[in-house]
Amino acid sequence: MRVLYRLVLFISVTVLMACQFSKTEPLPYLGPHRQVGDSTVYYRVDSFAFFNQDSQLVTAESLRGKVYVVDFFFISCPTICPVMTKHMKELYNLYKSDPRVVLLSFTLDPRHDTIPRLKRYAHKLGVSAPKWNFLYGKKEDIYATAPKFLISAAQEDDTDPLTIIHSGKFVLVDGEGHLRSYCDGTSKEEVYRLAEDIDRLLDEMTNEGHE
Amino acid sequence: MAVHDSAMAKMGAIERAIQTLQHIKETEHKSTDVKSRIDSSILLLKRADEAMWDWMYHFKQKGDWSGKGTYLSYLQSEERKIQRVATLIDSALQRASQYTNKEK
Repeated sequence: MRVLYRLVLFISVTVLMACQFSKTEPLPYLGPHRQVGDSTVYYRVDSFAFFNQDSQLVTAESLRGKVYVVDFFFISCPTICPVMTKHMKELYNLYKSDPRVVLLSFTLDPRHDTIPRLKRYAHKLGVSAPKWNFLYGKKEDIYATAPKFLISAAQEDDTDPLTIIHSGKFVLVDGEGHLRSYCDGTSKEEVYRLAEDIDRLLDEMTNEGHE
Repeated sequence: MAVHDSAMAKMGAIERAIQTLQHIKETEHKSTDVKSRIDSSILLLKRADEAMWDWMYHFKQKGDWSGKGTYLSYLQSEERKIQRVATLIDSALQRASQYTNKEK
């Protein structure tokens, strides 16, 4: 009995240590990077500026220091967007009380998804800014911004801009604008995995703050 | 919804064709007549694009629908509308291809 107890204890401690190790390991930096002298310069989303449902300007600069999740959607989308929105709302609920986490949903149909319509949509979902920003801007600006986020999530055989943009991907960006993870926003399992990556990024931020 | 999915898959091609035509117009020496035909081709692509977004905007899922008759008859009438949008997309792409194919 004592041998069995020790065996169970040993396995539990090993599993616990393994979990701790994998959780504290930093997430990779995605996208292209270059070497400058001894240091590596990682790709980062440099600049964008769009209005949210409260007509507040949300920029790359205003999100500095925040961990944020990005997706591209439109309200009238009859196919994948409702599932993506449902999963994004789960992330909203998970990180509701953590001001370090922000969600961004860019509309692909600004002609219909005007700021008042986005506001009504957010209200109907029971969510609000600044936690979840539904972003509005000129169509050409949105289409030019999307590849900046989806550079690492796009499949090599994707050639259609709209296919890439409306791919259902959720992209995780760190406080410095670096792309750190992404997932299929239509898959519940993948979104849970992304939530673990958010936790790892938050741990990273906490550890950096203590150093 | 199958007609919608098939037409939606061509929306990326519309965006790409608009960009290619604008590039041709700005960079190549074309007569005023050709430039004006390119402009009308771009306009047709934009109309096809807008028709698709408009159809999705107006389309009602069963839960949101409250019209006359049955939902099935509504779906049949929407099928005819989306079929027209699909035809518009095909003809806009077809017309643009006389310029974009030369680019390849």
